Amino acid sequence: MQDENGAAERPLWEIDGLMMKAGEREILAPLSLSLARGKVHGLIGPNGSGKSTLLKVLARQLAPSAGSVRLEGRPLPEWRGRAFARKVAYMPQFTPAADGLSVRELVALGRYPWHGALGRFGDEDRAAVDGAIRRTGLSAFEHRQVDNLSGGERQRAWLAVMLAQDADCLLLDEPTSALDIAHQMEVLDIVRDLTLAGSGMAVIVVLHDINLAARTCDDLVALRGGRLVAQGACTDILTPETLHAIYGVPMGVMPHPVSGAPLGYVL
Amino acid sequence: MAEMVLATGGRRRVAWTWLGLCALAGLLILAALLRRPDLPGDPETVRRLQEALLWHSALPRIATALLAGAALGLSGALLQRVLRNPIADPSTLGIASGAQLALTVCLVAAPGLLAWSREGVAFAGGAAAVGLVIAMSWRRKLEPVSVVVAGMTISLMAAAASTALILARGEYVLSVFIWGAGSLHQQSWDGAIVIGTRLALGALAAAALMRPLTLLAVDDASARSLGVALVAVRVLVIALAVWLAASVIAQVGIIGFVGLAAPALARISGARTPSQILWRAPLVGALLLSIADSLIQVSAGSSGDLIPTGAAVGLLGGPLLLWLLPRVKTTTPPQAMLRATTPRRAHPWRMVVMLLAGGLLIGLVTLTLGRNGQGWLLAQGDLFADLLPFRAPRTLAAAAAGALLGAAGALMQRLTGNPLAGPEVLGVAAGAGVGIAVVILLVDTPGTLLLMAGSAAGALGALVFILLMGARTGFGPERMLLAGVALGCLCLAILSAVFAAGGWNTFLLLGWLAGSTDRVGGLEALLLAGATLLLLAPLPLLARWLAILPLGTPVSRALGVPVVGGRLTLSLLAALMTAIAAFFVGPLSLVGLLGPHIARLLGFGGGVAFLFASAVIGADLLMLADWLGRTIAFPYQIPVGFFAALIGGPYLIFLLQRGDARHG
Amino acid sequence: MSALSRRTMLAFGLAACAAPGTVARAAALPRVAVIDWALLETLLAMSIVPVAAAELVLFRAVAVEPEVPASVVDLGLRGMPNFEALRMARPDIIFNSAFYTQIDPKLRLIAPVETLSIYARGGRPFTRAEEAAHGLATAVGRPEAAEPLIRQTLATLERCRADLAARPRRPVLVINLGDPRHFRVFGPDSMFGEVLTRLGLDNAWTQNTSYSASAPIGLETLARFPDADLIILPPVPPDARRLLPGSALWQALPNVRDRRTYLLGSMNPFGGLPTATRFARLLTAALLTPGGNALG
Repeated sequence: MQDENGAAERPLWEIDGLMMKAGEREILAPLSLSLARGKVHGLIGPNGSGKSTLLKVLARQLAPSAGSVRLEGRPLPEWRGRAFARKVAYMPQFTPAADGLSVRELVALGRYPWHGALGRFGDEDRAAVDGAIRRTGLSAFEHRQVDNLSGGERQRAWLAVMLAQDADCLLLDEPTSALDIAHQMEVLDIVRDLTLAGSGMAVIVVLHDINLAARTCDDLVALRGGRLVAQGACTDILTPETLHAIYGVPMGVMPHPVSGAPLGYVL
Repeated sequence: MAEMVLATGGRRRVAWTWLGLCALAGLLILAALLRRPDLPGDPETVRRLQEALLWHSALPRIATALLAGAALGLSGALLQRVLRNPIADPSTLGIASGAQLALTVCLVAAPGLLAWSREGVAFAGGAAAVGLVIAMSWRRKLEPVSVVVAGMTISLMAAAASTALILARGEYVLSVFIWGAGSLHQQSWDGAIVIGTRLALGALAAAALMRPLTLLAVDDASARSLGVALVAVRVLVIALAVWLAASVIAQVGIIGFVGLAAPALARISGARTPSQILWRAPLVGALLLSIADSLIQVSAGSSGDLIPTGAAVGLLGGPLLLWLLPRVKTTTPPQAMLRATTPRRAHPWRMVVMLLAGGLLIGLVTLTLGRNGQGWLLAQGDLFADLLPFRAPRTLAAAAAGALLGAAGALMQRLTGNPLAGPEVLGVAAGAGVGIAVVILLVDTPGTLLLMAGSAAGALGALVFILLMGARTGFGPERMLLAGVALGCLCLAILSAVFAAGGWNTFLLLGWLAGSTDRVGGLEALLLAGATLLLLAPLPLLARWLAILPLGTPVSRALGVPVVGGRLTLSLLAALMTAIAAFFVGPLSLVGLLGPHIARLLGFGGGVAFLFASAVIGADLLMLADWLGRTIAFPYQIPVGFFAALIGGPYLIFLLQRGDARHG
Repeated sequence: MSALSRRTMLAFGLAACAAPGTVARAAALPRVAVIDWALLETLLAMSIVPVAAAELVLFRAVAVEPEVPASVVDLGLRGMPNFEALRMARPDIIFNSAFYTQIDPKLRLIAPVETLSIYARGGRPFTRAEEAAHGLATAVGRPEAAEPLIRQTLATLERCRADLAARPRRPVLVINLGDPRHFRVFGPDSMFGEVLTRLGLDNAWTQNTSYSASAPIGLETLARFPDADLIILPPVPPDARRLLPGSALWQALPNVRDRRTYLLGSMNPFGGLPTATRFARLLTAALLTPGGNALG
């Protein structure tokens, strides 16, 4: 194991020679990269590029065919279930029906990694749940049933579960895919704000829309056909050449009329 | 996978395989035909008799096997197509059981109706069953697993009702048993002609409906946009399939799972388009049933067939379902999950206490109020003390068994997220039944202890089997549910084969199926109550797993819940509860389904309170059923198991189709 | 009804053997309850009237005789008797057979249980029925009551045998129709099979059928016994009654064509000595009636 300083210097995630195969088909080619703390990382790429698979491997939902993934320098298989869940929170692309739970009950489930099956639900847990509900702006809904909420509210409730989990790293798989533009902003702004306070928290989010990703993320990882095409700051990625390499269609880039940030568009 | 293998160069092999199978069927038919009995008597009589046997028994039997197989194959293919469900068939949808129940009811209550139209009666029963199954699984968008689980539930209810009738009016038992096991013996061409004409009409109708059937392959919305009158086509096709199956059942009884196997084998042989499957499935069905029946004939001893053909084919059903499991898509689209409508109770534990108080009240009534030959009687003083040794154990046993079933049902429904999942369909209880059947067949007059051991062994065997099946998929709840249903089918097929033999010990088995609390002794009741407390005690400790596991594998894993271990623990607990309870009230009571649904209707949303509410409701229900069963037809007793099923079943169907209790 | 059945017995010359002094000793009899039907009919035939017995509604329909006096309390189903009704009948002794042995522990709470089984592996039902009669009589403190019943039964069988001697020697096949396509047959080790032997008749079915009837057999198997007279025991299912007269196979059977099928009155296939008597009597009467009577 690493001592405190050593762990702080290393990147949070180190991915080395990661491969994923389904039968004969290669979903992830040998892939090596590292992801740092304190940033929002966007995983982008066309359909079938392997970005969702990569996220699932990080979340330990899928076991890789070859290669290694280290979290804080420690290989993933060595982490025990709850210890890992205290470090990493994951939200699947399709969140399940919450089965009659109220918002507060659902969010409280996020404390499982801390108290386990039998431990007491203490003040600390209560505070974490309160905080998560407040930060996602769900205080008015906390006793409503999750299944009766609107899509955006429901997505925020699941985000609150992850926040209550008090993990160092959040993994989000297309958290906005079923939402309209206003609700997309609502969710992504919460995500955006997580890393701002210098909390050292890392977020890795799979996003379909390149401009949404550029607006939300500090750092983009672009995949195509299971291979790493580019990694870097948004301004580095959003160039006509790189975008063409990622998406395979000719694309242009122009500055945002108000913020001046680069915007990609199809030619 | 099979298709992939066949795509290259395999076609010729398939053709040869089919040719070989046809040749085999032909040879077996010949062998069966050549196996004529030696008849005594003068040559002229013998010649005339042999002729009569050939023309009126042997040939009709061959024709009936071929035609019935084809009709069932077509019926199964139609059902699978219209429901988009690879495990739909007349058996899994409860059509066979419904038809049999209708025939049994008529046999006992209105024999005249049978003389008028057996087929009509069977059709009405089958159509009612499939209607109920569809109503029950409608809210789950007719998703395959739910449909089959609903079918199993309906089959169990029909079995309970049939058992009650048989116990109550024993005269025509044998003919009911023969029906149940499906025998192809013939004494005229009538059966073959009836099935043949239905098959011909059915094939014509299927051909006419081919185009809309092809379009049904796409989803509803697309089919509708293509101009298909969805509802009309579906109703027509289902009615056609039920009619085909009902005509076979009316003639020869229940022939299980040909309708399941034929389309599956047709697909393996390379049939891919709907029309290919619809044409090949009847051929495969005919071949299958013919081969099976010829084998039965060739192997028959001088005192008749070893087992009836229907039961023999039924035995293949279980393994076949298991084999088909990986092909069943069990993912429910997220939007199919429904929103809760029942308002949640603010103080659930208060309600649990009220339910407990209600239970105590019911207990008080069952202990004191009874009947004698003259009328109702409130037992006090000496009479109370006199009757207590008889009333107390059965009341306690009913309460304990009800609590176990209610809790097991709540566990199962939470675990599978399927509101149709009751412990009864898990196959554990039916496994216990097979254990008891084995004991009864081996030992002439088994005592309670031996029966209990047999039941425990059967339940344990079933449990191990289901867990083994589950282990392959990380104890995925849907798979385990299906494995349970498959095992349940297998066990019921075995039981109906035992019934078909019609020995006098079958009544012992019937008595067990019916469930009886009245032979429970004081000590046994206390032990049962102790076991109940022991099994209910860990539930609060499992509350968090129970809250998280229904959210699915990704979320559970993300939160660090041991998914496999958790599911294994919970399944084991539910199965143990079911096995113990089933010994006392039989496998048919439906209390395990009913308890959780009523709990939900009362506003229990989940958590430990929900589990305990389900348990208490189960206990209350069974105590009530036990008391009613004891008093309503005094001195004749209605077994608690099917009394509960008979009052609970219709209510359950009402609840499910109303949709109040629809979220898992 | 009671008088009628006595008269029937008289007609067969049985009443002469009835034990004298039955009425005088009846007062000393213990209160008897009985679960098993074979024991019930044996008790009744020995003029020992139980206070309670099981499933009397069906017994009166299936076993028909002996007549059950109205004073006997019905206990409900045999496999599931109502213990409360039994308790309130306050029996001194309960007779049960091994078949319903699982309820013995409960029965013992009410009164001592005496188990007597006529149908069990390795036994001959007729012999066991005689033993059961002795056992019952001894248990109620009237050991001498069994002998007259046994004597009556044997006398009836002897009489029937003599009556049948004049009949051309043909085997008989005792069957029960399950539906229009299936039948069960009673083998030599069944009660009926034993009675056939004692009547000097040949049972066409020579294999044992585990002391009752076989599993259902296809109707075509009847063709193997063209010589046998067909003895059909009720119940006959309605559709068998309806369809068989029009069935080509059924009509082709020599026994049907020659009107050698005989439908007897209802009887309990698991009966005791009275059932043996009833079977012998009804069978003899049927076989001696010229021209069969059943399902032509």
